[in-house]
Amino acid sequence: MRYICCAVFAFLVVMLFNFVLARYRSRVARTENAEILESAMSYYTHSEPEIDLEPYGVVQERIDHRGF
Amino acid sequence: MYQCSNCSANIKFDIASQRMLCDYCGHTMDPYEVEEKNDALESVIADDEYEVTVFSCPQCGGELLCYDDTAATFCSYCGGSTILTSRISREKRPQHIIPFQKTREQCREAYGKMIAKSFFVPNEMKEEEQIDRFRSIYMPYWVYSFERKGKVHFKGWKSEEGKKDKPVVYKKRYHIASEVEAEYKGITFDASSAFSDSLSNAIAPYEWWGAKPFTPAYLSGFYADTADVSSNLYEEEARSIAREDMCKHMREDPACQEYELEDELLEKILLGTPAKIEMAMLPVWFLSFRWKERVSYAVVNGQTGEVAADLPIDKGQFLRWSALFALPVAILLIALLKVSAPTFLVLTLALAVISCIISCSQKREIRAKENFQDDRGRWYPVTPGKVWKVSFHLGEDMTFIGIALFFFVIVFGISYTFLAISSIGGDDFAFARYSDLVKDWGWAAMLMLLPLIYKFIPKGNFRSRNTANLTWGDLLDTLKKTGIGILLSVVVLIWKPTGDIIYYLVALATMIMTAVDFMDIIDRHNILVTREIPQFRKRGGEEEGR
Repeated sequence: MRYICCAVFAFLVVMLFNFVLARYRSRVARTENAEILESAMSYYTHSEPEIDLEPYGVVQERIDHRGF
Repeated sequence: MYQCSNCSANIKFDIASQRMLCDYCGHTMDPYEVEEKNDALESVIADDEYEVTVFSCPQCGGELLCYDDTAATFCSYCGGSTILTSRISREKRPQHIIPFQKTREQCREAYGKMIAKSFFVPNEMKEEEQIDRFRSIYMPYWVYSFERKGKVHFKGWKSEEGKKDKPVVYKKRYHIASEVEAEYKGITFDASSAFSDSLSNAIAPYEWWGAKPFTPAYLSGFYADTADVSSNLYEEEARSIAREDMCKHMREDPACQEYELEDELLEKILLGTPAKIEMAMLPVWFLSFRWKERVSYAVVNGQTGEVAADLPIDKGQFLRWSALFALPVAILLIALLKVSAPTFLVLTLALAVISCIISCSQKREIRAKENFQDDRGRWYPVTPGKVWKVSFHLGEDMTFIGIALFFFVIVFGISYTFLAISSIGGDDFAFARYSDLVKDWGWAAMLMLLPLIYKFIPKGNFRSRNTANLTWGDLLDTLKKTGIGILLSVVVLIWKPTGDIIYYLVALATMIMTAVDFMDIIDRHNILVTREIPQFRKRGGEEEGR
C-alpha cells in the first residue's frame, strides 16, 4: 500500500512541477518601459541644475535611536 | 491594386528586396513611385431591412469578405491582393509605416525555436502545415510623441544631522531649476481592439528609426487592419513613460544626488505638454490555431522577430511526460522517504490544499480575463469614451502562493533533515523523538497555509462587472472534489486510528481527487491562455449567442 501511495504521490508532485513549468513557459512577458524608450527615438538633455545657496525652509525631526 | 509598369500584373511589396516586385516579370519598383490603378470598388447596398458595405475585387469582380476594420485583404476567388483605399484615405490614414523586415522563413524559424521547447503543447501546433499558415498583417498603432523645452522649477530636501548631543535631523528645502530639452518620438500602443494588449505588448517594442512615411503601396501583398480604439486610451500611459525617464535623468544628475526630489517634479516636468498623436501601420506575423472551440495565437514582430504565443496544454502530452518523470521520482521516494503514515497523509493533504488554491486563483484570473481587465484595447469598443482603471494584477496570486510554498518547503525541509540525520545514526530513541517532531512540524507547515486559504475566501463586492473577485459559488465548486479529500484527511488525523492502512487509504483517495482536480486545473489553464473565437465578438455575437 505504501508503494502505491508513494507512486501516486510522485506522479502528483511531478504533475504540479510540470504545470508550474508550463505556466512559466506560457506567460506572455510584458515589455519594460526602458526597452520601449530604447527603441523610440528619444533625446534628453538638461543644463546643470541651479540650486539656491540658502534653503527657504527647515524642518527639524527627532531621530529615534530605540530601533534595532 | 498596384500594377507592374512592365506587364500590368499585380505587384506586391517584397520583404527581401524592400521594393515592389512583379511575380511575373521580376520587375522591381520603389514603393513611393508606384501608382494605384484600380481600387476595390465600394458600393453601399441598402434595402428595407439592413445596410451593408460590399467591396468587389478589381481583378475578377468577386465579393471581398472583410470586416469593418479591414484595410487590405485578398480576394478569395482569384487570390489578388487589394487595398480598400476608402478605409485608409479618410480620417484614419496613417502617417507612418514600418515595412516588414522578417520574411516568412525567418518568422517560421523564430516560432519553431520557441515551440520546440514547449513540451506540453498539442502536436498539431508543431506541424509544418500549421506553421505554414502564418499571415502577414499590418496592425494599426497609435504613436505618441512628446517634446519639452524650457525651464523646470522644483524642490529638493537635504538632510543634515544635528550635533551628537541633539538627536535631531534638519531637513532643508532648496529651490532647484534646470533648463530641460527633451524629445520622445515613437512610443507605440496597438490601436486595434481585435489585437490583444498582452500579445502586442509582448512583441513590442518596434524600432522607430525604421519607420517611413506611409504609402498604401507597402500594404500590397499583406493583410491590414484599421484602428478602432480611441487615441486617448493610452495617452496617459505613454506620457508617464516619458515623464519617468525625464525624472530618472534629473535624479541621477550628480548635483541632485544629495537631494531628495519631491514628487512635484514628476507632475511639473511634462506639465502642459500636449502629446502629438499619429498613427502607424506596424508589421506582425500572425498565426491562429483553433483547438477545442477556442483559438490560440502566435505573433511575431515583423521588424525585430520577437515571438509571443498562447501555449495551451494537451492533456495527453502532459500525462505522458508526467508519468515518464514520475517513475524515477517514485523509485527515489520509495527508497528514501521514511515517513510515518500520518505524516504521509499530511503531505497529501498539503498537495490537495495547493491544488485547491491554484483552482481558486485560476477562477479569479478567468473572471479578470472575461472582464478584459488585462486588455484595455477591448474596453473602448465596449464602453466608448469610458476608460476603467486597471486594479488587478494577474501575477499577484501566483507570487503570494510562491512565497507561502517557499516557507512551507523550508519548514518541511528542516524537519526532514533532522529525521534523515537521526536515521543515519541508527539511534532508535532519536528517531522516535524526531519523528514526533516531524509530525508537529508538519502541522506547523499546514498552519502556514491558513493565510493563503484566507486570501481566497470570497470577500465583499464581487457582483460588479469591473472586478476579478472570487465568488462563493467558485469556492464551493472547487471544494467539490479536493474539499472532500481535505475533510476526510483532517477527520482521520484527528481520529488517530490504529494501524497504517486507514491513513494510506485516505491518502490514496485524497490524491485521486487531487489528480481529478488537476485535470480541471489544466482545462482552466487552457481557457486562460487561449481566446474565444473572435467572430462571435465582432458584432456582439457573444450577447446573442447566450
